[in-house]
Amino acid sequence: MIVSRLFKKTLLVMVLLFGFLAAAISLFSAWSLYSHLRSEYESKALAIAESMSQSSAETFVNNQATRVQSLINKFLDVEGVAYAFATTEHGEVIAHTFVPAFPETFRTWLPQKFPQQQFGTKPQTANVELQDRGRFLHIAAPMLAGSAGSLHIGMSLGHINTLIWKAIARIQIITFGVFLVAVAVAYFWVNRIAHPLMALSRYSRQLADHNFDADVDIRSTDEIGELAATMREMAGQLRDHFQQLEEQITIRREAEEALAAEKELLAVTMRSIGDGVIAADTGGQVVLMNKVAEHLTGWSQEEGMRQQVDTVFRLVGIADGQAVDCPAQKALESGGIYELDDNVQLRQRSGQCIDIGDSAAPIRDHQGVIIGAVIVFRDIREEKRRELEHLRAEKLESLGVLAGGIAHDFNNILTAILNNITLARLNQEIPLSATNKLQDAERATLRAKKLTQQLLTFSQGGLPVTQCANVEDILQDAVAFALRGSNITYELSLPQDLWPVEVDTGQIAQVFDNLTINALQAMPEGGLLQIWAENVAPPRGAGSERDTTQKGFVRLYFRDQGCGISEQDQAHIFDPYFTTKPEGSGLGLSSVFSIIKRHGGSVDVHSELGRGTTFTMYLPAANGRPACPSGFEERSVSGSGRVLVMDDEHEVREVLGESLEYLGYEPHFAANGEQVLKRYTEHLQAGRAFDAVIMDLTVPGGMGGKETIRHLCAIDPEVRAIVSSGYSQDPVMARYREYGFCEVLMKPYTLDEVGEKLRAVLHN
Amino acid sequence: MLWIFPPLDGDAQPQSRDKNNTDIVLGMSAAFTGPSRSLGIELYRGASAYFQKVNAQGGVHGRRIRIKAYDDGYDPGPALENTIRLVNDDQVFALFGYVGTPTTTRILPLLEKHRDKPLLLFFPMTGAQPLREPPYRKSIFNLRASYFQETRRLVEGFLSIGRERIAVLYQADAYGRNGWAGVRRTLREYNLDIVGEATYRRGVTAQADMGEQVRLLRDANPDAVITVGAAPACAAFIRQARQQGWEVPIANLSFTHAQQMAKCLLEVKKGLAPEELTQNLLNAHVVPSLHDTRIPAVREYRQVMDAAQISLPRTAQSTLYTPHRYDYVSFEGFLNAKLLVQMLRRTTPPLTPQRVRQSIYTQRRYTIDIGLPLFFGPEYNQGLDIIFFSTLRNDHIEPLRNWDAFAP
Repeated sequence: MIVSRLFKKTLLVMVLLFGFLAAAISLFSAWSLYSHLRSEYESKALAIAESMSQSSAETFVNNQATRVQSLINKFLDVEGVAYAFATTEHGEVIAHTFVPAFPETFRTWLPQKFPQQQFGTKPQTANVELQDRGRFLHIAAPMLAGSAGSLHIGMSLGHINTLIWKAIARIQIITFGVFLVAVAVAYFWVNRIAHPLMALSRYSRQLADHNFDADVDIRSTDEIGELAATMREMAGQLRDHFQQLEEQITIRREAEEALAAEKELLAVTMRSIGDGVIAADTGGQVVLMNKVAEHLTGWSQEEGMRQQVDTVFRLVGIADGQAVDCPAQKALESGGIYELDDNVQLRQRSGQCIDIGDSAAPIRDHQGVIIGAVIVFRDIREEKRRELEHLRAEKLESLGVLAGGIAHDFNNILTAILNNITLARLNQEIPLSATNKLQDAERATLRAKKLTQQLLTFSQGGLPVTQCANVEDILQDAVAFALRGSNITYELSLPQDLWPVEVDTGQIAQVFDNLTINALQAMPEGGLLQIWAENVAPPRGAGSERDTTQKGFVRLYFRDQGCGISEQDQAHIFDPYFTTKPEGSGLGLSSVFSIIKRHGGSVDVHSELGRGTTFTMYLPAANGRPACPSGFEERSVSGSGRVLVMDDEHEVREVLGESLEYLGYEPHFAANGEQVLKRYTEHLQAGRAFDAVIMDLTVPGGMGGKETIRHLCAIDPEVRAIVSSGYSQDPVMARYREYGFCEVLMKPYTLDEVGEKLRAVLHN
Repeated sequence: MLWIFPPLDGDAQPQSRDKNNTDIVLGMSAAFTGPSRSLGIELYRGASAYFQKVNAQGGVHGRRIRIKAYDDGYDPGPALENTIRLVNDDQVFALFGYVGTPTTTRILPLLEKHRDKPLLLFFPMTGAQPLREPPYRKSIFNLRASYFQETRRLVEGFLSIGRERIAVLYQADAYGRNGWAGVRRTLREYNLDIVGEATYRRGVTAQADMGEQVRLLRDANPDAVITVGAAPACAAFIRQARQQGWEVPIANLSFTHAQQMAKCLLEVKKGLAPEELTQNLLNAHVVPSLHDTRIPAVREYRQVMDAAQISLPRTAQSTLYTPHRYDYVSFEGFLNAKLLVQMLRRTTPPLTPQRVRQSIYTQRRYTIDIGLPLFFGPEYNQGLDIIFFSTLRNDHIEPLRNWDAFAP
């Protein structure tokens, strides 16, 4: 059952009202009933007593107990009479109606309450309480003014209470009945009023919940009906309003979403752009900066926003450090795209200046009106460095090409000169003075050889012929030799577990030689050269991803206490022919750079003027152990056997033949590859096969060593061939074994070198 | 044996056509139902038996004697209504055989009202004093001794054996008050007083709780107890007293109906043995012993009772009651009838109450074959003054020959 709150309130009020009414009626009824009944009882008892004293006096006079008993027993039939008894004039009880016995209470109570001598003619009343019997209204009536005794009647007050309670119960029942009827009537009446109100209230709640489809079914013509009609009309208007609003909101939300998506796209794009982007409004205030721009300028977007664009993006001239006009301003002024000059740098917030490339363009709205400018710029330091390096490499390459061009012929010539001098010196008939001259000539030839080698370093053919080697061995030889007779001391500290390196020992020895000479020249007053090294593990990520054979590097330091190199000069010290010393060739450090680079390592310089210079090198670590300890136990170079020499140069064939004879070998000659094959086949068939073959790599207009070895290997798989060349541009010189050669002889070679190589070939 | 009496009303008899002329109709109101019903029934039986004999022999002056009986249940209200009905509707010749003090004392003003007619009451079964005193003395003829006489003899009997502390249990009405007054009065003559008293409400049954009354009286520590009550109440009191181990002698008045009391006392078949229950019990009687067949009246009574065919009045028909073959109450009824027939026969017809009373006052002396002459006159309306005593042995009533049996 749906009970309206209105009815609940009404019910509550009714309950309170009826409760109050019932209590009031009960109290009033009880009070009036009590007083009424009491007075009625009293008058009843008094009437009995009066009539008795009037009519039956003689019965009492005679003390006829039986008749008195008979009389008083009749009183018990009267409603409310609880007991009756009669006493004589002496107070003796001659008849009573008590069962099982006359109460003891009266023995003391009666004389106190009704003393015989004070007993008048009128009945008297008193309240008495009898144990186990209750409270009574006691009426004592004197018979013949007490001379014939007295009659006592007890009216039960408990009976009065019972009557009162009964009456109250009846009143309550009636009240409750009336209450129920009133509740029922009120329920129907209130409901008649409340139902439309509840419906309206429900309707208004539905409207509040935007449920405009709801309706309220009240069509009456009274005020509630009018209210319902008004609310219906209002609901209709509200529904229309809401619909319009919702449509507008939908449109706006879609637009906002599109805008947000666009903004997001723009922001993501901006963030993702590798170049810095700064946008400014027409007033020159920054309105947008991307992440790269933040990084390059040193300003965060929050800090940079609303700053003047030339505060955030501050440009200075490289030459004078003076401020340069902001390109954005220029773009705004000119209305065209503005490219930055090369000779300006961006001064970061920290004050450091960096090279940048940038351009600025005005931003136009769809009507072509300029609404701001955008600067796009990037860090070009790396670009510039690479450009410099590229330039340097180009220099070296052109030098290398030049050197390579002349080196072949030059080395052939040097080979002839050097070996002839050597052979001449070996002649003991020559006077001592001549011998000294020959020695000087030989020394000059060796210097020429060195120069040629340095030049060849820059050529493409100068690939290092690497082997596993100990750094210490090479260092000891090279440094000690270079510092002979100087006032420089050196300090070598290498860890015990220093890895071996995979290097061309000759080239690396040259590097160490050059660096030592460089230190020597930097400390003309003498000083200390410190050299130390350490293992450098390969970079983890790269190592696991690439070949596991990568062992890492050995890092070497050469530190002198010399005059140092100025910052400007540091950029050029690795350039060929750049030198600050009057006697320098300008090739020392540039060949160091070239050799290390070709080994897959790197070299760097750190110097402060007046405090010395430190060169740092990275050399690739070797996988295995050094194959051969440095030095020879036996420096015997002589041997025996048939050796076929192939060289297109007559002088070289001749001097090499003489050298071989001197060493104890039996030389045979060929001018080109075809002759080698012919001779070798003849000797092989004749059973006098050659023990070794020494072949020039290239023969102009004929088959060189490179081709010949293929055929030779086909004829005799066990052929022992040594390749010889004036310059190492050809990759065969570095990877001779892959082609079938057993050894290599670099021109110009000395008598000793020839002997060593042959001995090595023949005895392996 | 349990009898349910077949309906038999005087009105239904064939002679009822001219009953006003021929039958002498006696009006009787008594207890035929309720705890005291034995009294009404036995009294009716004894009287009816004798009237049957008389009627069979031709009646009195050729007129049959008939009892018109109504039940009042030993209640004064119905007794009064019955009497008015008997006088106004039934127009009885006289009232006869009323039972009980409260009932009979209630109708006394009616006798006074009809004193000119007069309305006579013959031989009510009550020893109440007002019936023997003015102003009702002229309208009433009593056969039995008064309660004052019964109580006097009982008190004096106890005093004779040294029992002086006497307590009274009495019915809270006129009967009880009369007995109480009789005991008190006798004791006062000896400068003694009742040492303890207790009452009970009229109408209680034999199963009633009398514990409080026993306690009240026992607290008074009496030498003997005299009860002024009806048979069931006295039986209840005695049983509880004995069950509590109180061996005090208890004496009952004639109205207690010794035989009915013994029956009530013994009908509960648990607790004490019959000998223990009936010990130290004393009953007063107003008629000679039923067993004393030396008395001619006793012999005649036995013959009449054995010969009679008695139907109870309609109002008593639903009552369950087993009549005694010979009973002290029916014997009293028999004697009442015998004396009334004497009185009527010795009145010269036509019979009117006025003439009967005048005849009695003139004749003065009557005999009913009990060996004692009876005297009646305007100053004295009681025939017998003798009291007999009996004791109880189980359910057997034995005449008391010597009070020493109750000596302490």
